[in-house]
Amino acid sequence: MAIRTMTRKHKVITDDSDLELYAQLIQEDAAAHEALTQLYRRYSQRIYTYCRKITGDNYVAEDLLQETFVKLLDSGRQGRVIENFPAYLMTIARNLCLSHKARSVRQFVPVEDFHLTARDVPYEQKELLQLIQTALEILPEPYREAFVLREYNGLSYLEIADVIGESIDVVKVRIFRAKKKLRDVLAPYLNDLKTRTDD
Amino acid sequence: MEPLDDLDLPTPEGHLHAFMDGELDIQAEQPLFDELASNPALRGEMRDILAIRSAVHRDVVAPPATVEAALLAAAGLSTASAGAATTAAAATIAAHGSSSLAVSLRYALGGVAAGAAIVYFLMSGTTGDVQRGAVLPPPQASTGIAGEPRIDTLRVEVPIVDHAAINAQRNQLARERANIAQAWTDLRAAQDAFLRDRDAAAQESRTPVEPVVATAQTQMAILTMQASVIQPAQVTAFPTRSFEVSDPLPLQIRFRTLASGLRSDEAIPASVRDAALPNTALSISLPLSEEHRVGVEFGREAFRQQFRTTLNGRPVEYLQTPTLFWFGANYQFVAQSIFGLDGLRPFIESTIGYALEQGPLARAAAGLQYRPIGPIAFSLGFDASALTFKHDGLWQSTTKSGFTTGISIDIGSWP
Repeated sequence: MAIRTMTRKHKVITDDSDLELYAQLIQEDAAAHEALTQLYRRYSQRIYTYCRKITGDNYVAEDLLQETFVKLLDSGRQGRVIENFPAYLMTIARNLCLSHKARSVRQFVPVEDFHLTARDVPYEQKELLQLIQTALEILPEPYREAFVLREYNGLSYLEIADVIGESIDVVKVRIFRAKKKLRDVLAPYLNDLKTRTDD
Repeated sequence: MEPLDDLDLPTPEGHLHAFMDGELDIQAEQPLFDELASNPALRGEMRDILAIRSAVHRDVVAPPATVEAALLAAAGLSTASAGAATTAAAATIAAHGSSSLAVSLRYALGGVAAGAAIVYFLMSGTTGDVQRGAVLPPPQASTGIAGEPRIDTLRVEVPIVDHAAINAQRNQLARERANIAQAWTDLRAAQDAFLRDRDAAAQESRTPVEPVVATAQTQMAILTMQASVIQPAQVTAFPTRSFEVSDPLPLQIRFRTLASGLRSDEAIPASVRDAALPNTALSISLPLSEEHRVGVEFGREAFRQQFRTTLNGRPVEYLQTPTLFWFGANYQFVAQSIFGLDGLRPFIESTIGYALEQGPLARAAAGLQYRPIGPIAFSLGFDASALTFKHDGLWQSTTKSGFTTGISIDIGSWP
């Protein structure tokens, strides 16, 4: 079994824009490798978080994250022209999540899959995170998605509208209602938290 | 889905949320600040939203480092030499007898890269089954990107089902089943002939035949025949249509176009032009066996109706092309692959149905179906249909024929 370790000699392209990196996906393997790696490191966290929040399963989220970037690479190799890279990437991830949800029977997810991975978070914050997670799960799917895209992924209303294929007004309303519902659900805890903080 | 009564969100709350999302018009900012200064409830809401946002932003989860390595491998961009890796992977897998993995590997996404990933896996010294998140010893040589965290776990995925191999196996099993069925038929015929001869001989000679000997001979013949054509392993390998309760039904959904029935020089009637999806049909079917399917089909189709009758005692001729909705029961037979091409199979099918407000309808089609890889199949065939309908108490009929093209997708489980 002969394995060669390839030494990378091509230039570091960390300063390139998303679209410049995307354009390099069509090039030879070394350049495409570097470009895909950079894009992955820029966006994997967002995509992973989105998939995790939408599917509720860390393992599935990993699969969908990988599949998202494979599809991105395919698009780049085919020379598909895009204008808004984050929205395009998020659209791929969203479609994969929707496909996954459509073909998978709803299953109970082991409790350990809902573990919170935030590090160095105060106990109250961890508790709040858990409550937010629970509250998110009871939100209607469109509201949850809009909230996740806005708060976890940092997309603007316009970008969210592009991703989910709705008008910006619908996006605005969904985010507003999602936050209102979250606040309604979490209000007792938030009041208690405030009281403890004041004390 | 939702009534957008709060579409413009002109309330202070709406402005507050828009402001916190960086989406509020600058002209609306000062009124919001004024409102915040005088409205404790609004400040409370702002504080709550900030608390939620702060918690959310701390919920930072980076994907495991293994995903990046698996991605590069799946994308065919692993740093290992792809060709050498694939060859080495195949050789090593063969050496370990993991033929099923090797078969799947052929159709894995970016097969070359999957080979590289497997080589990476094998180089780490583990020879057991590849499992999700299997903990491996540190790799002997770094094949990752310089400076990135060492990869302690590796998950090799083969996400694409090897439909070609499954089809070939199904075809092989179907042929073997046909051979066995034929052997059984021959055996039954031989047994019947033997019994007939025995009875005839007994009738003629009136000499009692030793029944024990005859039975023993028959059983021996049966056993001999079974031994010659039936291998136990093959019998147990027959694909059976048994499903777990939790398995989704193996449905096939097909959309196909139907002949218009209009001549090329004929203007398209408004009834056809204005109809949604005219001359199309959708079917949903379930398999009875490898070759046979039954299901339901419904469609929207234009039928040219030309007939003569009388109106107020005067002979009149009607010519119309209504677009009708019909539905019915559908049966499909798809034969084994032909021309040595896996996936290319002839088919015939028929549908018996009813066209709303018209009458019974029957249609039949024959053609070729091609399933390249995966659950999607394409079909091209010739379709003929007949519709009967009643006018002024008299039954009329019309027929048409033409090409039909279809696309189908298998969903659900196929054990």
